[in-house]
Amino acid sequence: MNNRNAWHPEDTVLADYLAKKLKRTLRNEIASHLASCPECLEKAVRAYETVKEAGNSNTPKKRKGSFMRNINIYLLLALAAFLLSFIIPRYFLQFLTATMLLGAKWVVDSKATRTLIMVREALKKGDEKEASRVLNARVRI
Amino acid sequence: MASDHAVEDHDMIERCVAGDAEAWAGLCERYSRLMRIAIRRELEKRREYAAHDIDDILQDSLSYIWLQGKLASLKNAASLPYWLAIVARNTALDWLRKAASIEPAEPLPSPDCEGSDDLDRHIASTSSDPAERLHRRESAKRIDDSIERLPEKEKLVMKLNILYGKKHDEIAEMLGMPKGSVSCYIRRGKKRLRNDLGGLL
Repeated sequence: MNNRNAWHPEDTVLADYLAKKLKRTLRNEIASHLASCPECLEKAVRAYETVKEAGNSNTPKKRKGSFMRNINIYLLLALAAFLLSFIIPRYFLQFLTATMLLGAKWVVDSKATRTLIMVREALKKGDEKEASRVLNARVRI
Repeated sequence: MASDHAVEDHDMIERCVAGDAEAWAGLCERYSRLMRIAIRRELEKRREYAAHDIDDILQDSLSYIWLQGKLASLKNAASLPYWLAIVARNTALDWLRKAASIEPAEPLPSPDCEGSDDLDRHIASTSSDPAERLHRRESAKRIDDSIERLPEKEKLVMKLNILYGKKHDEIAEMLGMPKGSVSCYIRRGKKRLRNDLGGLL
């Protein structure tokens, strides 16, 4: 709000920000500006939404369906720690603890668990509508 | 794939800047759909429009870019789709402002952000009771003020989440942040808002 009438980034700079082409300092500067300038935030959000709606034909996007993308990093680390516990028996307990911690993180981090937690919290508050909304939204994803 | 597009675009932009009409035609063909989407999204929000209005605004946007050599100011080819979306939206907003000044009966389109002002308007308009409306407006104002008091990163993330209804992964993608950080900012922001607003939430 305080920056509302001050400096506004050029449209090209805002586009560079959305395309992740700015250096860290300028990137942080733009993020700070967006936090307090509703006009530029609106402009950035609409540009992002437009490019997203226009889809793959016009936009550089990540490839989907890659095997590695579907594997959670915590699961991989947990497996690695588990294997290491046998390879280096001296640190068996330490690796086993690491396996358990990383495994727990993997479970908590997974989408299905997050959905369950959100549904449970909504039901706890007695908001069945919210619970079914969360569930439907996740099913659509 | 992504880099292929950027390389193609980079080449195309350079040729356009050098005045190559064929490259310009190719660029228009590739991105006119995206620009139409940007224009339609603005027109839809504000007033009734005819299909040819979108064409007119698209032509204005393209003329502005070509005749004023605006492509030369673009440093990164990967930013081209975002920049074109911004230019098309700007032209659509100018067109709406002009249309509003010609037809004074129409409400003047707001160039401002929908965000907090819209929240305020929406909350105030959902009740017919003036006292209730006033109460809601005050509540909305308190929420806005609390969001404004958040630390910068939390403020930006919370605005995208609350005012624009963006999901955690969308915010992460838009701001180039890890999803975990976004979730963390939202959790912290919500906690601060809850403390700040007391019984309001």
